Amino acid sequence: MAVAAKDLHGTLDALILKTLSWGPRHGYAIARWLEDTSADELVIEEGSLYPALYRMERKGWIEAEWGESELGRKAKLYHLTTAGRRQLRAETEEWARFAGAVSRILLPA
Amino acid sequence: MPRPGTFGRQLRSLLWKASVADEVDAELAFHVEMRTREYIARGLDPELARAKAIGRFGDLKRVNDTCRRIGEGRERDMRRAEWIHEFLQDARYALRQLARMPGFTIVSALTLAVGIGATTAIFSIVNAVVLRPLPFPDPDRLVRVYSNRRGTDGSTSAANFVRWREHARSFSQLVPVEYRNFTLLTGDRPAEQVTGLRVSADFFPAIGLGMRLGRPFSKDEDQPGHDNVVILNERFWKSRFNGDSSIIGGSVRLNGVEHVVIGVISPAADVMTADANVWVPIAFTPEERADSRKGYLDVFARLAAGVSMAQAQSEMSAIAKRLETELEDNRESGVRLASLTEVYVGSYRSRLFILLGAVAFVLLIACVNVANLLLARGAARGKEISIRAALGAGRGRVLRQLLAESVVLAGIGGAIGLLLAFWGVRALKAVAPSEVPRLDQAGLDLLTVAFALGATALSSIVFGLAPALRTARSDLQGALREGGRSSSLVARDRVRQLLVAAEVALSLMLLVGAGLLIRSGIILQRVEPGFATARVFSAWVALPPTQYESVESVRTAYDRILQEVRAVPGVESAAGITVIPMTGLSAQGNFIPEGRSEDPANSISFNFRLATPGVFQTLRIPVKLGRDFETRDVAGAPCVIIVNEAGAKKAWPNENPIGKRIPGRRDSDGQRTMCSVVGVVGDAHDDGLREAVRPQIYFAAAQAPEAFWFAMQRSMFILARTTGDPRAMTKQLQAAVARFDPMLPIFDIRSMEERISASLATGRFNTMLLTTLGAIGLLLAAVGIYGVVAFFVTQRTGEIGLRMALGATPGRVLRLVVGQGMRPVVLGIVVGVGLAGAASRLLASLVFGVGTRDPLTFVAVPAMLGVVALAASVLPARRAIRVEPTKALQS
Repeated sequence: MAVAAKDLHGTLDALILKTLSWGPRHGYAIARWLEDTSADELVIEEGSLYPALYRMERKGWIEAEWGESELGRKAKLYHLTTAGRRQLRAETEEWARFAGAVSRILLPA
Repeated sequence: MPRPGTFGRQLRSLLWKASVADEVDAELAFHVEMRTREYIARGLDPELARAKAIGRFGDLKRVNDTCRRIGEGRERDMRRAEWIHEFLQDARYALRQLARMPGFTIVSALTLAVGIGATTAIFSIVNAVVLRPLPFPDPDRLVRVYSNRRGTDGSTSAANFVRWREHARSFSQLVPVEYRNFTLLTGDRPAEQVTGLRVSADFFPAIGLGMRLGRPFSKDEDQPGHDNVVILNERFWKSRFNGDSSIIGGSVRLNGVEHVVIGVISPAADVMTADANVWVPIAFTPEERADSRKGYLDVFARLAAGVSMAQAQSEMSAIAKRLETELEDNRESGVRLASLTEVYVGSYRSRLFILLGAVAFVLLIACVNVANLLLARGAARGKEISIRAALGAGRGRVLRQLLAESVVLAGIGGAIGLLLAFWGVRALKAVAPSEVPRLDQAGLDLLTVAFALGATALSSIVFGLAPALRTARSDLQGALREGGRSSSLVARDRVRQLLVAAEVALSLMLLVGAGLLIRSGIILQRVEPGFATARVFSAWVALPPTQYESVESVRTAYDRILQEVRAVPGVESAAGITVIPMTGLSAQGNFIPEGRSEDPANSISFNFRLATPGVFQTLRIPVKLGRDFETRDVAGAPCVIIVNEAGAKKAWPNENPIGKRIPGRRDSDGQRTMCSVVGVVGDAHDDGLREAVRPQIYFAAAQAPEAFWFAMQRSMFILARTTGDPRAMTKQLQAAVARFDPMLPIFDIRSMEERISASLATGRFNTMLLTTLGAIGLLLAAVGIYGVVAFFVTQRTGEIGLRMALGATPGRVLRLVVGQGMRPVVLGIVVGVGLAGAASRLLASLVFGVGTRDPLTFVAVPAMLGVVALAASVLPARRAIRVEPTKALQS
């Protein structure tokens, strides 16, 4: 069963940041990468993805510039800032703590 | 020439606005296209693929809008950050500039600090006393309901009140308050007199007063027989019971009756009655309810929802009209409503706003002075500005830079000003008369600090804008060529002269105000009070009605107390009187002299007192005709009265008043006792030195009926003329009263001199403040004039040298320079006198014995200002005549 990324509280930002940590990407590529990597277990909804990108841009975690896409079209490419990397580290730790706690309850040893 | 940088930024921001929307459109379109390709590649029909790609967005338009909004928000953030960055840059540069001219900076900053500090201090007081709403819920719905006879507001009788409450529909609550004195006994200390209130049970919900501790009165407790409960005022609870909460449930004796303490009231009540220490239920007895003669209730009300003050007033007027005939002794009893806020702070509003206005003048003068200094500096900086302009700084950029200097300067001034305000508020609170309500709450709260910031920002514009505009506009090339001496000198001089004229006019207005109050104060000091104040001791005694119920017991009590007091060594004479001058207390009665019709027009309002023999001798009020009260004037003997000269003149003009009669109180059988005038005494200023002497009528205390004693709460002031300092005898006099009844407290102990001085405190305070402000204004104006003349001399050194080389005498040169300096002063004086003539009317309620256009003040103040101005221009002018012609010409 596919899970909408927005259902997982606060994780969309972290997923986007993680995706961008491999290098600059445009919005579509971020969505595809997440879908491919999770073997389509995660559905990235465009309606959440783009507002999230703009919000993170305003917060200064990511920056964007217009560049060439793989098909030679102009595309808005996002890349991480230093603040963004810091945020990614923080959110990863937070996630690990959260997931650990949930696992301990749902999957008792 | 616009600076490329500015132009570029504007251009970008223009393009940017369109581009946030475009960018979002392009980005989302790209996404849709990529997704469509993906679906096609998976084998979908192109059209279906596209529809599916768009469908994934849900509501594409909403996503688009959200992104654009966030994107534009980011743009705004960036612009703000950039603006702050540039401002900080300007501010840093401005600080460096100011540091380079420490003299100018210190003088300007201190000038502004005085202006801002004084304004802020006064504002903080205006805010605490007048602006802050009363500390009750919906305070603007609270009203005071007065019984009003012939235009005079007064207290209300219980009968009237009960009927108001029955008929009035305009109020959600209508509640009575009675001020009363109680003798408090707790077992651990001697009896003491405390002031207190009787209120109805619904008083607390009506006003919205909460309890600090315990509970308010219940409805049952507002019934006679169940009313032995008491609530304490918070301050009294702290001072008298050490804030001990275990007192709740305990009991105290009030007027000899056991009362259970059930609560401590919230300190919010202080606004209404700071000195009401104990609160008991009013619990009207049937006799009280029926009584329409004794007016002793203060009535408060809360307007019902949707009812306006005017509607309530008209309803109450109609009710009062009906009651005029329905109740006994109720003719001409109207009703007047007033908002509670108006009642408590109304009289301070105009006075404090006058002060705020005056202090704003000082700030304005300070600003004008700094503007003048900046103009002078602008002239000197012509070269610097020109160079910056030549290097590409646009006029806007230079202007911003100069304004940043003003803002930084005002900021420094404002910071020091806040510090001054902090001390100023403390000082004002220490010297202000204690009667001002809520003054103790004044301080540097958030609103006051915001006010100081506002004043700072505003003044930086007031003093900074004109000089900055002028400096930035300097003729650049001309300035460079002349090496700093700008050719627009004459025009700039005119602005500076106008500023000086404004300064002179403003300080003249302040000084005229101060002058009028000083004159009033001097005249007030010369007013004869009509009685001798030296060596007179006074104290208040109130007999608890539970122990001294009959009139006979009251008479005997005062007789015996006075006997004890007279026996104290050092007491020359002693007497009792119900109201002494200068207490702010009033007791009035309307009387129609015998032989005139019962027409209200014939009735004369007298200040009404009960007095014992010897009162005139003790207060040194001369007996002009007839005699003083004597021991033979007792109950049963013919009723005698004494009037003052004003009263005699009013009642029996051009007649001998001795033997004339006035009907006294009605007896129980409805007959009026006629009382004959046996003496006429001199006029005494009862209500304060400022007030005109009113007709006064004195009844013999030994003949006064119960109703009179009731109205006075069985209280009397005991007066004693002593051979030495009356204050040194307080202990002995207290002991004398205690010898009669050790439970009887005596309070409000003061010498008559202290009372007079206290009654003048408010006037002195106003005068002192306005004089201080006037003096600051004068000083600043003098500095301004000095600056202008000094600047003129510096700028014209060459010309002066030339004149002297051509044979002008030093006297001529001096006249020229001083004349130059005095021209704006004369203009300022003329304008200022005109404005002061118009503005001084605001002081009408504060002046005494002089008109608000008092000729002496209007001549003396301009003359003094002229002399100071002359001195301020002669000092720098003398430098001009010391100019060596040869040197001046060489430079």
